[in-house]
Amino acid sequence: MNKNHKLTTSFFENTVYEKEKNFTGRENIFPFQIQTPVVTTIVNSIPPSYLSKDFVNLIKEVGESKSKLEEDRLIKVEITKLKKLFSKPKLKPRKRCELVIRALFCELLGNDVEFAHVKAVNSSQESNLFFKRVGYLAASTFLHSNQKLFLLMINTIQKDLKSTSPIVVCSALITITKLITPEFIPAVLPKVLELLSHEDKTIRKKAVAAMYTFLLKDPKSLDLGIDDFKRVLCDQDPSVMGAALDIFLLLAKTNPRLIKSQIPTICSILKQVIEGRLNKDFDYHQIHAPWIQIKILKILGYLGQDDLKASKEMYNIIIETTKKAEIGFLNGITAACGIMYECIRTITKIYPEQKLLNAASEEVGKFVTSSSNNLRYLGITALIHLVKAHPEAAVKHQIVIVECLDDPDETLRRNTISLLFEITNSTNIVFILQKMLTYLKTVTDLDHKKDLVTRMVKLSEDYAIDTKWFVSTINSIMELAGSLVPRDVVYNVMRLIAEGTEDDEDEDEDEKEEEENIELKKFAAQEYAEMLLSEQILPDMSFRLIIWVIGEYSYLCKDEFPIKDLMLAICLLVEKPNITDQTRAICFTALTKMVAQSGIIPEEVDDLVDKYSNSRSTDIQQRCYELRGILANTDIIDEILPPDASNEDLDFDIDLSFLNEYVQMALQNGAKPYITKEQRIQMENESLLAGLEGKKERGLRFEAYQIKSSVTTNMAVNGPSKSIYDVKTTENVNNSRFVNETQNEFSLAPNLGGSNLNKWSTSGYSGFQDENESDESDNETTNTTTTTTTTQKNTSAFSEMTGFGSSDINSNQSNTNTNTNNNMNNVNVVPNFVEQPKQKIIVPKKPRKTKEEKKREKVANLLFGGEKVKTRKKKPRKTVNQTNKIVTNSTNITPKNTVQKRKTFNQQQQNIMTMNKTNKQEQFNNNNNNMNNNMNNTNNNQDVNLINFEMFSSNTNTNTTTSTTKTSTTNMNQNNSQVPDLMDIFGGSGGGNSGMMNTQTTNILGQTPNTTSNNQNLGGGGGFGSFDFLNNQQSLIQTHQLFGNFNQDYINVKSKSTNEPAVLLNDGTLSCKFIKLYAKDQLIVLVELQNIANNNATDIAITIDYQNAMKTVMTTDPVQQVLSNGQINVGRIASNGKQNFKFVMSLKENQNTFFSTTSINFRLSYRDPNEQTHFHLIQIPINIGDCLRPKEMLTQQFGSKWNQTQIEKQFNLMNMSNIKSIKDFVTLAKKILHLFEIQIIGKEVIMCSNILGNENLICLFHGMITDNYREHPSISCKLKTNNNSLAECIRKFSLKEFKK
Amino acid sequence: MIFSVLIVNNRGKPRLVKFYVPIDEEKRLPLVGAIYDVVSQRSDKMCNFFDGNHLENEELKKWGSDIKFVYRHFATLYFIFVVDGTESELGMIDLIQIFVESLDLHFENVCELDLIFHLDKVHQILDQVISGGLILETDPQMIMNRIKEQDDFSKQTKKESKKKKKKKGRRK
Repeated sequence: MNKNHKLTTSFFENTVYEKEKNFTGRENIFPFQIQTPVVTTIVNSIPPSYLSKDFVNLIKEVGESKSKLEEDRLIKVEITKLKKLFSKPKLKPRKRCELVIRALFCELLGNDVEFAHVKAVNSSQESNLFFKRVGYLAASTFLHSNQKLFLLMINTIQKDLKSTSPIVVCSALITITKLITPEFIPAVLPKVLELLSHEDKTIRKKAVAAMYTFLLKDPKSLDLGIDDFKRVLCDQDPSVMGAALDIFLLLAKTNPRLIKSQIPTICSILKQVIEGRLNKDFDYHQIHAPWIQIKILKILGYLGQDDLKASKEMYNIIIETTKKAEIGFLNGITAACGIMYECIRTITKIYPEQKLLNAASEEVGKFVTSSSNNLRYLGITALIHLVKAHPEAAVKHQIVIVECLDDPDETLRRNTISLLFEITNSTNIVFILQKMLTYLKTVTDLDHKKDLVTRMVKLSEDYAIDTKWFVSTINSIMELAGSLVPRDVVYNVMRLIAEGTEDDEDEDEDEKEEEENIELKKFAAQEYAEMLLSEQILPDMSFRLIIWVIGEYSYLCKDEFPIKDLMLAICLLVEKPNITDQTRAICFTALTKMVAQSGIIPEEVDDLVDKYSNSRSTDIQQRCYELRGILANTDIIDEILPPDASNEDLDFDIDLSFLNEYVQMALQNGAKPYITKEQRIQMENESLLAGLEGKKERGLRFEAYQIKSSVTTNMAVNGPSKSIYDVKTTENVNNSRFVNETQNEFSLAPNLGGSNLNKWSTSGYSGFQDENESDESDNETTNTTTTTTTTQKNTSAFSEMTGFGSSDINSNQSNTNTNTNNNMNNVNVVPNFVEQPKQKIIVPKKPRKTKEEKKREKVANLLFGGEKVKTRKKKPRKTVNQTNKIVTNSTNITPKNTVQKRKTFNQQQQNIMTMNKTNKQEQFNNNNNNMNNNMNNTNNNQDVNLINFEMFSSNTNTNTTTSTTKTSTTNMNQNNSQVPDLMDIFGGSGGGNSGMMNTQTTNILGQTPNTTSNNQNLGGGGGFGSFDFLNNQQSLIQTHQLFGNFNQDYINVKSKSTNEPAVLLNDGTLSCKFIKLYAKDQLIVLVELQNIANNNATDIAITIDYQNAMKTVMTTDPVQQVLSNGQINVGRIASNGKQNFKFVMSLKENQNTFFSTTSINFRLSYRDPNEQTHFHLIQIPINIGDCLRPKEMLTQQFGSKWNQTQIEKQFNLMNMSNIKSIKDFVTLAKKILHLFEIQIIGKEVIMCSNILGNENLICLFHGMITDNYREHPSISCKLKTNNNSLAECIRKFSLKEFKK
Repeated sequence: MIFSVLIVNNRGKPRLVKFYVPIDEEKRLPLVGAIYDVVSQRSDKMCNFFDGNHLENEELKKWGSDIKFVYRHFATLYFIFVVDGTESELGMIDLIQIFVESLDLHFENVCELDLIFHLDKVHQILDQVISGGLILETDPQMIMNRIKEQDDFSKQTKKESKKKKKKKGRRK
């Protein structure tokens, strides 16, 4: 005994020993408390006999532990101990019970004790009630998430429910309430229903609680009518009735109609209660069954809501209850206060009745004037609800409310603020917002602050006394919590300032209004000028507003705040590190406006503009150049930046009619007319229809990328291109990956460079039509010529089909406005540095302008400075400014009402941008083509010369072809529904390219698979849609040399939609393309280099970055030596595209590094005839799809693998509206992920692939289209792999790729 | 209904954690900690309840929008009830009182250590007061009677099983 005493004392010394702070100290908080303090710190606790010394010691040690670390260590030791003890054979129930309690203790401290779960379940199966109870207790604490074990318990529970001992039945019922899940309800429901009429009231009560749980977890599980519930409600024992009231409360909340008929019953119960007709046992502090009263009042509140009839039935009883409670209330009994509060809440909830509302208002007074914070809090809460029906109520208690605002209790303050929101009207708004601003200063909790700001903004919008007040209020809020002010509001303020008050109806007051508006603008400008000059640190959004207003209206307050000062302040702001680039950009626009308005440009501004002309942000650069540009043409300043024109309407020339002349010219020169989107879609549909009829024909065109012959890309036929390649290069390897913006930044540069562009562009146009024709004839030749080396059975069938295909293409082509020189335009390579002489740069002074910027400038020139067209009809001012904003980004600070217009403008802008007028004809041509390109092929700079291939389904046919250099054949499916496509990866189909690898012969097999001795496909693509890409003997031999043990598999091109050679580089001199070939255990990248200029580039050299995964690098044509550092000295390549230099890189799996490879890089350098050296860094992106290979598998194998494989990822592909059926999805999945289709079962599909060269690293894929696919076209996918990063990789890749 | 009953000591150590709604094991303690953080910062003069919006917790949001916390501070322990709008705040204050009174009756001057040593007993008492989130018993004396009944019954079954064993032993 002594020992125990000692132990506990020390325990408390280290945990919580606050003897002096016992309950008496808190009595004033519970003024209505009658009871004496209960929890004491007097230490006399004796551990129960069933706990072993071990555990008592542990508790002691944990109590004494000084740090969380130490405690964790102790518990860890205990857990190991427990595990060991649990695993002992022949564990006695008693010992096990103790161990379970110990585990419970560990669990309480937040440790995982999964090992004890089964033991707890075991313990619950004991017949000894103590063990059983502990078992049930532990199980119900442990098993929330582990439903498998509950399965073990359900049997025990069923048995215990039938037990003769009421206590055992009770334990079972308690466990049910804690653990039951919807699926197990039927297992126990009949017995529980039976127990509802058990003779023992405790059992009935617990059974009601179980019913409540069922109702909560699965309302449909109970097929009970209202009478069944009523029977329970009318139980003779009040405590059972009390529990039944909870069920009624739940029903009243969820399904009030069901129990509306019971209002009289419920009211009569309440009457009985308040008259004290229940057993005295239920009195609590002289109040009759307070909890029952509260429950009934709650129920009545729900039932009477918006229901006059129902409410009328309860008015009387509520009044009565209130009166009864008042007596207790005056005696300071908490329970009575609770009832009183419920009465008020019910009165505010039900259909309003004036008499009741008056009474409630009176009672609320007692709450809010109470000295107890609890009651004041509830009083304020009640008021919040009361004022909705009874606004006068708050007026009475104004003073108290204001007092509560200053209370130290934050909960109370918050609540009072909520009340203020409710009682705000246009008369007290000024005061209330003043109070709130004061309160806002004290708030630290971010969420609360945010909520508060939102509500304050709303109030000031709703009840603003005038615009000026509104603006200054918002300013104050922004000063306190600017970052929390919604962006909308800031725009709103801007709009207000810009537009002022709008009362269009009253025309007489126009003048007065105008004055007022100017007054407002002046006021705003002054306010903001002051804020700016005070140099306080404000959130970004506030700065934007300030800067915008000052930019627009600073001239209005130039007397008080000299513009120069403001400009300097802005300059200072720009240099601050903590503002964003967007804000900086706005600063520059503001400066531009101010310069335009004032005509002065301080030195600081000048310096700043110089500095930021080289900013990393293109937006800022752009604005800087604009400022410069405007300064250079001072005569147009007034026109483009007139003062106060932010809400002028802008008119845009949607048809871009000013370009008609150029279009006409281009058409005359042989360009094809633009096909509208509708037409294109129609064409696509038609070709789709054709496909459905079994004649689906897709034209494959293999146009060369030489200048002269680059006519025949059939974009329109194939729809928007879907290249997965983000091919590009930038200055820096590190930041070069897939950043389109950076591309744009530089991509015009090559176009500016060469005088040699002159030639091809003009000739490109002139030769256009002819080339088309020659192209067609070329195709014709290709398709129909059979060769000597192949066996061919279905030539005629093939010819027919290809004939159809090509004519299809051609007809489409004639409608397609393709570019003559699109490969020139779609330059994706950025010269690392180009040593260009200055005279070559078109726009002097602006050497490093981005393409976009230049275009914008040109647009500006076109629109405003240009001689040709005016795009605006009204007031020709302001537009440059507008343009800038639009071009830069979507978060411009602009008045709201113009946003819409600007959006439209923005779209046009893009088009305009692509077709800027330039001084040089050829550049115009370029741009014009660009435009065409953009129209045909939105936002895709990379894909030129695209050839979309239809995917074939699961047949591998043997195809053989020969040609002198390279040709390809396509695979045909047996059912003839497929398209025989001709593919030429690098070969030119362009007629004019004498030196190119002309396709000589092509054989495409028909339905019957043919084999030849040399070229047999080894079925590498079983089930996987594939093209068989074969070389002729000659190239085979070459490739043999290249790859050593090269076998036919390698040249099985597992085609994706990307079998078009993608252009890596085209800078006017060199053109570089690549294609990926998917061999069974390798990824082969073929790169081809061509000199397309008419001058010879010299000293061409390639340096390849070797990587882990890279196996071989070989050159093919001509064979060149690859130096050990990856360098290939090519020397010269014949000009005009007469010669192709090709090299091959192959990658194979290398200890899982493969799928971490993201690109293959190489550098290319050459010297142009002007002795300038050019460097290019070229990246060929590699994605996970490139590294996957279809893996053949049977459904059963898949099943067993699925279970074995651990790592699972799930994702949903949303909005896949382009996929019409599961088959479409499979086709797409094959294309993207190279999956092997195992089986389609209804709406589901299972597929499989593995990482190339590693059969063990598999990816199991399960896709299912959603039930209501039509409305919500999404596909839920599951994939399982044995490598986590692989899984994640595939998941991300899929999410990205399937979207396209 | 009542969602959870928590007893936490002044240092934030949980002494009793009971949830009447399913909650993942790993989410229990963080939630308890979050609640303790709020409760422990409130002075004794503040009112005994606060809204769910005082703390950010995803589990809480699952339970509904009108979650309230009602708590009382006794000596070294905080008794915290998490309830929704269907329960009365003042009613809960009284219920905590009843629960503590029952504990006090059982342990005679209940202290924190009692709750640690007699964890199962505390649960047993709580199960009498609240079951499945419902208030079932509000009279401390009644609760004590129940507990006593159960304990007697346990002893009885114990004796019976011992007797059975003895009988078995004799037979052997």
